[in-house]
Amino acid sequence: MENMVRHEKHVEIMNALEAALGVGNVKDNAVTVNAYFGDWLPPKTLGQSVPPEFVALPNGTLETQAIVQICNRFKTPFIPVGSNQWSLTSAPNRPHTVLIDCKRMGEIHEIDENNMYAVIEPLVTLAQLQGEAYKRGLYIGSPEASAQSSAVAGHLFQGMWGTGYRLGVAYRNILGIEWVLPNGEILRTGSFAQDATCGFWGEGPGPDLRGMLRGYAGAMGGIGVVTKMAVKLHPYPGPKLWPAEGLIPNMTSTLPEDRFKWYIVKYDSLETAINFMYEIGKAEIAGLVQKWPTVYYNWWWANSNEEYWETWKKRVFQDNVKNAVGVCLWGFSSDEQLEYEKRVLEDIIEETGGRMVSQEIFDMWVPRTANNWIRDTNGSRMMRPSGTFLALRLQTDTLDYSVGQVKTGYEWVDKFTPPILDSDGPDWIGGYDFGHFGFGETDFPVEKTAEALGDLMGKLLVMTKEDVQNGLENGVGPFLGGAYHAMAGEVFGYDKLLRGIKKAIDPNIISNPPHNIPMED
Amino acid sequence: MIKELKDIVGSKNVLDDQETLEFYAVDHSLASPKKPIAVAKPKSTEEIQELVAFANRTLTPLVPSSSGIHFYGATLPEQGGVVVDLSGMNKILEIDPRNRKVKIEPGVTWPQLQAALKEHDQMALNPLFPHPLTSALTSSIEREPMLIPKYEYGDPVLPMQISLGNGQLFRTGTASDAHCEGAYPEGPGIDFYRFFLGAQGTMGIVSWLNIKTEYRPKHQKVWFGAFEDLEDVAQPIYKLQRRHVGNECFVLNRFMLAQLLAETSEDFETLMEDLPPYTLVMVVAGAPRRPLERIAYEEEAMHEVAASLNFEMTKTVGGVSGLGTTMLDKLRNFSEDGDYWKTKFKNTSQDIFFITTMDRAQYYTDIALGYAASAGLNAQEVGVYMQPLERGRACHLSFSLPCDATCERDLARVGDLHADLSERLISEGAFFTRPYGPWADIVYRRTTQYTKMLKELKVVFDPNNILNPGKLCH
Amino acid sequence: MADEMLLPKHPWYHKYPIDGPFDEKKARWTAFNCSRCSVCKWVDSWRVQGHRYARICPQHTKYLYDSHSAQGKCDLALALIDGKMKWDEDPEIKDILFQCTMCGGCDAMDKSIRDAELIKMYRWLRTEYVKRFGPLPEHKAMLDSLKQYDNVWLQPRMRRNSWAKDLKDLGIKDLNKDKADVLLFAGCTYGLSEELKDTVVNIAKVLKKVGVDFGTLGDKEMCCGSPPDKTGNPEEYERLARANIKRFNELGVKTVVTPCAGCYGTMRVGYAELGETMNFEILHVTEYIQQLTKNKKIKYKREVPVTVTWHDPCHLGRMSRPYVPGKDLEGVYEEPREILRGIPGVELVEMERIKEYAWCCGGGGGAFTAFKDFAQSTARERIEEAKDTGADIMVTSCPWCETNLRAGGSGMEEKMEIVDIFDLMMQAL
Repeated sequence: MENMVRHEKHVEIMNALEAALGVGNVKDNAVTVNAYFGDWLPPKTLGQSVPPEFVALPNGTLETQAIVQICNRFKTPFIPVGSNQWSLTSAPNRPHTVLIDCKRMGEIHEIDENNMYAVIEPLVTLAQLQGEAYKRGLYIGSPEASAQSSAVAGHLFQGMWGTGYRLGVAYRNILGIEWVLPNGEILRTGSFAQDATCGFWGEGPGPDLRGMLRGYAGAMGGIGVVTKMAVKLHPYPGPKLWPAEGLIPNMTSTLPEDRFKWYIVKYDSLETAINFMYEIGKAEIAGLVQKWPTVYYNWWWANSNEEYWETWKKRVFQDNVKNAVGVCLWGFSSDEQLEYEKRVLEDIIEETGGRMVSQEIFDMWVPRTANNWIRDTNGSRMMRPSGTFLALRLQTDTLDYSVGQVKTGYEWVDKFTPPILDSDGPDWIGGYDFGHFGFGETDFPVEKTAEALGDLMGKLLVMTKEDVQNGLENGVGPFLGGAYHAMAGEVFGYDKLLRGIKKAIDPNIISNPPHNIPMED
Repeated sequence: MIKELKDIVGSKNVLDDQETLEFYAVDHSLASPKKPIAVAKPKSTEEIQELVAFANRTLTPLVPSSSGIHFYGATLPEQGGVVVDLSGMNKILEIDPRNRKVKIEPGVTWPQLQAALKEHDQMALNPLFPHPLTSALTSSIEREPMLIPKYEYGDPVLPMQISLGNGQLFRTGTASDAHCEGAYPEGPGIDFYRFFLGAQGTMGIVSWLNIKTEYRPKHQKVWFGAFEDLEDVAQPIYKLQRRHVGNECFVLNRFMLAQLLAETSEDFETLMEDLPPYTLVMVVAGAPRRPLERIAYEEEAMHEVAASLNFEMTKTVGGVSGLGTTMLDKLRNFSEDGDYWKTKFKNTSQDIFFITTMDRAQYYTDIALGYAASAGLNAQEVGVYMQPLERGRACHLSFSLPCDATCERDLARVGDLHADLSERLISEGAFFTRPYGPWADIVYRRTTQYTKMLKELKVVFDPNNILNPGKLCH
Repeated sequence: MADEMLLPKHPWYHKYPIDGPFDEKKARWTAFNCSRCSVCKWVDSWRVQGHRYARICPQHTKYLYDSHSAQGKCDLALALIDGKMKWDEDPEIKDILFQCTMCGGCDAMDKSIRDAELIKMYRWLRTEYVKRFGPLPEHKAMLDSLKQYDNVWLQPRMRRNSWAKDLKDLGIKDLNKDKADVLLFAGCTYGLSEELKDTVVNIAKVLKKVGVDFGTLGDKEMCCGSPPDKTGNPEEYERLARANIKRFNELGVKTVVTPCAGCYGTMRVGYAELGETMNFEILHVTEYIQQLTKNKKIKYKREVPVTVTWHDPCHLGRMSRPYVPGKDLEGVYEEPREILRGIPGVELVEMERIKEYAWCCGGGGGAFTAFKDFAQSTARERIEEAKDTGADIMVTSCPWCETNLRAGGSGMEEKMEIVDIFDLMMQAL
């Protein structure tokens, strides 16, 4: 197989791994490793990723620790993956990588219904956790990676769940963590630090080491392997079983009308739409507030390529939901709460000059699509019309700031079209923490060819460099991991700090280098 | 050295007379006196930076202090050095009602802050009736629990500016990007801000901090629930929080509530007789729009929960007249003057506090009261405060051990009790997330790997260990 | 305007071509556009009810490595087609391709997010493999049997339909001589299995009870072609398929009913792709009976007080209709359920994974013969799921499902009875 380069001590490493994990729980053959360096992003398509040399399946923290210790002994890199969803930076970029696949770590250790948390292993998907949560009147959100992705991994990377508007987003949803550091030591944080069976609280003791794990896009596997995590669950007034009718791909979902209500409200401009979002946040109502770009409406709604492009060419969404804001009210307390929130929302709509989207569009879109944003936010649908999608602008700060960001996004999209395909000025803005902050992202379809992607990636890198040099933090940058932090760290003053931390925990530079920041040898 | 300090902050802002040094050597904790060699009062970030440079050059410890009063020993110089008194940096730099945040310097107190925010119909999320001299910035970064558990965030911290021990001036979150408005705390790179919370000034000196603010209600009602035990109040709070009822929500035992309410010793004695053992205090507040309608549905939900669990929420407890108005006044109007409620009738108290879950609160309280009684304290005068956190998923539980600070014997007795009880509680799983003073040793010897990692982190941020050395595990 | 819009260049992004052969070009397209989203490994999120029964892919569940998933097979296909891996490079290629029940679980879930035909890609891969290395030894026996006897069980032709030899009184016609509008096509397994013989008898009796005038092909019945089709032997499949189509046309029957889900799926979907004119309709027996009795209930004589759960055979469900992008993954889901609900005393409870997101029995795709351990562990998973409903018995209507579920369950401590729907009906009739 192409690109398979063996370590000079391959056999020794294999023996060591087999001794630690058991025969059959580590493989190095062509067909196995071949399944671990693909992705939806450019690296494989552009020939930038290589297969791992070993794929190892530990069954818990101790076996994971053993793998990491072996990697330290042989100074060979490792990459941890959970569900290995989308494989953003977990496609190996250098030879001799041990890919740590958490497929044998799929247990839910505990769900504490009263105190609203769950303790999970890396393979537990958000859908599994949601199913268990719903039975207990609880809930957890799902980011665009969708609910079939690892709940642990989803907490370590971005995680801007739609319902984060009300319930908080992923970075704040983490409680105790059990974590194998790249140096092979086991670190437990929060209440796990004191008692490895008790993960209910996330901070401390004292300064909070969870800080190492995240940042906007997480550490890209550069700070070791999380093998257990306690996560928050939230009150949920919905049914114990997710309501779904019909058959794939045309399922519909309607949540109980006495506790949930959707609105799609149109505005004449982005600014007036954002004002609406601000007012909702101030009024402390709603469970979800999102201004989706028209391309999102289509991505999530269309059930075939033909349906996507025919609808797009007819401008069904472009002409009807531009600058529309989706709001889902949740009656946590009671149906009276829902009625109250409806009245308040309708007051705000009137005051801010909003107009409901037509009933036809509402009936077309909402039953089929809206509840995706509560249940699974299945971003895989973004691949449908052209094979892949990319983003070029992403920032989290105030809602007003997000407007500015997506507007510069329009300019860049125009500049990079082609190969960016028609996307009607993609401007996704989400409201979070009752409107305390907003998140703006510019996503667009691009045809999945090496030519288009190579061209675009080159342009995006130039744009990112330019941003950084202008002191502008573009949230897409961190998705590139080490390459970005090396550049941005100097400008925003964190390169030495991050290298100091990386050096302390990864002396042999083996945890998915060059993430989370490249180190000199 | 004094001259160098004066060159940095100005002569008037360096104090090294004995009276001053003795003042800064002690606080309201049980820690023995620890005298600094000087006190420096910077007025700007630049001066803080120069102080840090000085400290690195001369290997002189710096001990940041922002509040005008201290209870846990965090600002006592364990290894000598200079106390950096930031109380003079007391500007409210920006109030942003649209994005509901405020940017404050370290010396801004709670009364000052709340009064300023009131003009904009906003309020910050304060802990339980803070001392008027307490720094709002310190409360926030030391993770003092908020009274309102309904917001999913447990701490209101947004981006900050911090002078690190290595001399670097660093801005966290989106404050690192001058184009942004400082509303989001993550990044740059990783979540550096988390390292600076609960750090007792050992990683850096914060010169400003953004925190979230929320709507200051114009319409609200205070409800009270009377309970015999904490065990009895846990389920009601679980259910109320699940139903998203209420703003402020906390539990005080008789002693704490009596201290809070009494104006005179006689009041205090009467309240101690009349108040129930535990009181749940809950404020049902209106939002900016249709406030009375929100109050109505929340109250209906509250009464439904009460009926289902066979308890009552009433307008008062213990027959105290005007209790709702009094409580609301105390919650909304922070006086800059007056006696501190916790020390009005007893000289001082030593607090033990930690995080646990509400279903274990009774267990720990039984232990605490048992230990108090064994130590010869009047168990009736041990304060108990339970603060539900984040929709009731956990709670801050606090015991206040009364203590006569003028009596050596009492101090010793309470000191021993404090140590023994803390040790026992932690062995039973109480989670001390804010390891002040002697707790640091108790906690950090149990969390060996965490401790090791913290030390490594300290080397990154403060390689010469000049920031508050001797605190935490440093 | 549409003209000014910048749209993808490749026409297949605009409209996926469902017509035409599934060739290397389509295989590469399917593989290349895998975005590694992992829907192929899990039940659709909207249908996941909890932790335990959330997976859809038996192969990935058992073997764990991603190479053993649809995503892994896409990676493999891409590598083989692009010449980055050689077909003989790794003996595990065989396992990856053939340790799969071809249940279509991944295929169905994948269709929720893109236009693709994973199962066809697997058939293409298997065909390419067999071209190069010949059939698997276990499958070779099946192929030899087909060539010799037109059935997969190495049974002489004359034994086919022997189940009917004592049923002359029922008036089942021999369509080699007589005429009828309905052909009952039993299939190899129902037709030849001693174990399932009584079930076929019951099927015939039920048909008669509801007044159907039908016949069989007796010992002239030939295999539908499903086993060679699924195991990489398209030539043998086509021989059988075309012969059957020709014969059914010659018979002049209006309806071909079969109780075998495998035959049903193959005939409904596969035969239609061959481009031959088919002057008949293909129905599953449950589908047919439910159509007949829609407006009048079957008159049952007895109550059968039992709690049952229905297992959806893959080829009666999600694999039983030609693919039209964007269209519902229809199948015969409701008809058996309505039949069960109509039997007095029967209470139907559902498993967590049903209909188009049902867990496979483990018996399909050649796994039953070549990978018994895998087939049976898959069956045991299904039995556990059935037990967790609290049902007394699991009911289905597919000879492969029944056989494999019984085999898989035989070693379990707490057993679960597997009952054919027609056997249950006959208890009440």
